[in-house]
Amino acid sequence: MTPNAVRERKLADWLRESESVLIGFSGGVDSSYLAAVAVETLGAERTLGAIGRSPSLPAAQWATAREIAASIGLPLEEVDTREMDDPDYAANPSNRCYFCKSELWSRLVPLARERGLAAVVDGSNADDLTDYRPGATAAAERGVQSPLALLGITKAEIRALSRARGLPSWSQPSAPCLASRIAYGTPVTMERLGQVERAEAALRRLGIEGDLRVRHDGEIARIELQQGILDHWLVPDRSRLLVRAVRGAGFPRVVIDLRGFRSGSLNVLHGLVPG
Amino acid sequence: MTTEAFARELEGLGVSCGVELRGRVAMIVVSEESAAAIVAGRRQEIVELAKGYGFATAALELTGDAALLRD
Repeated sequence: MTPNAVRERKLADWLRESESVLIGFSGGVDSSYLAAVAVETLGAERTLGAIGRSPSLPAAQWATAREIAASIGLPLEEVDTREMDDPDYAANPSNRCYFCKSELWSRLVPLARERGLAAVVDGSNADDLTDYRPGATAAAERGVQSPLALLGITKAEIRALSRARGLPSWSQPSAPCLASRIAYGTPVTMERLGQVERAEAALRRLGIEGDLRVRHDGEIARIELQQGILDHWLVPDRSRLLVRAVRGAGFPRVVIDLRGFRSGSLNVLHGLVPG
Repeated sequence: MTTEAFARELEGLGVSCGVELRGRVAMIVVSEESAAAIVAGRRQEIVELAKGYGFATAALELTGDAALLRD
């Protein structure tokens, strides 16, 4: 048995012991894999995916989540969340994720109880344990468990296991919420979330694939592209296309990060993690 | 000033530019496409240089020059 097969068997065992689960589902790499194993292990009648409908969830990601849930036979519940009404969240402090996840889990944990589901889980993985993730505190406070992290399964392993299962999510870029692009201390507003979503969508229409972020810093948009394609887009003829796309979303100034994409780079800029 | 010292180092690499500090991001503002091309070509070197000055990253402003905005 390969090391990854052993990991998956441990995950299945963990889920079996839990008997039934509600999964905080986003349609991303991690929660899609977790949901696929849960449906296979427990059956669709003892597995429920729940997705928080929020302005910080890009429309494209929402559509993807629905498609993936349908493809793996995951029953999916869509639940409205109201974190934008919470002034602690909207002020965008460095622990903003705590307030967002508090809101999310305060709706999903009761839903699990109502449906008679024994455990509430999320797709956090072992790599997430090394980053600054205040949202994990909110999850822990409500008894939400993270089996992938608990069993030491990393993002790379989840991608490999997802690929082996034929899950379309295996190569999907990480997709954190749109609010994660707004500099801490700059309030999260519908307008700013919309700017980020439109700018990233416009860049995707240029054919940019893989990890991509447009960091919102007031009137400045800072584009982060994957290292492998960064040099291609820095050529002046092509960088003009980037400028046009991002300015169309309402940013007067556009800069491109010469280090390229780094997950959690705002945490580095604010000195919350080394880097 | 650190930004000025960083700008002088960039000038030594053949890049005439201004540097604006935004948080821990050193934003390189050039006035000519040729300078932008040099920055792009020496990207890794410039990032390492920026880190040496204590910046988290360096970024090239693409809207610093009207010429870059023309259709």
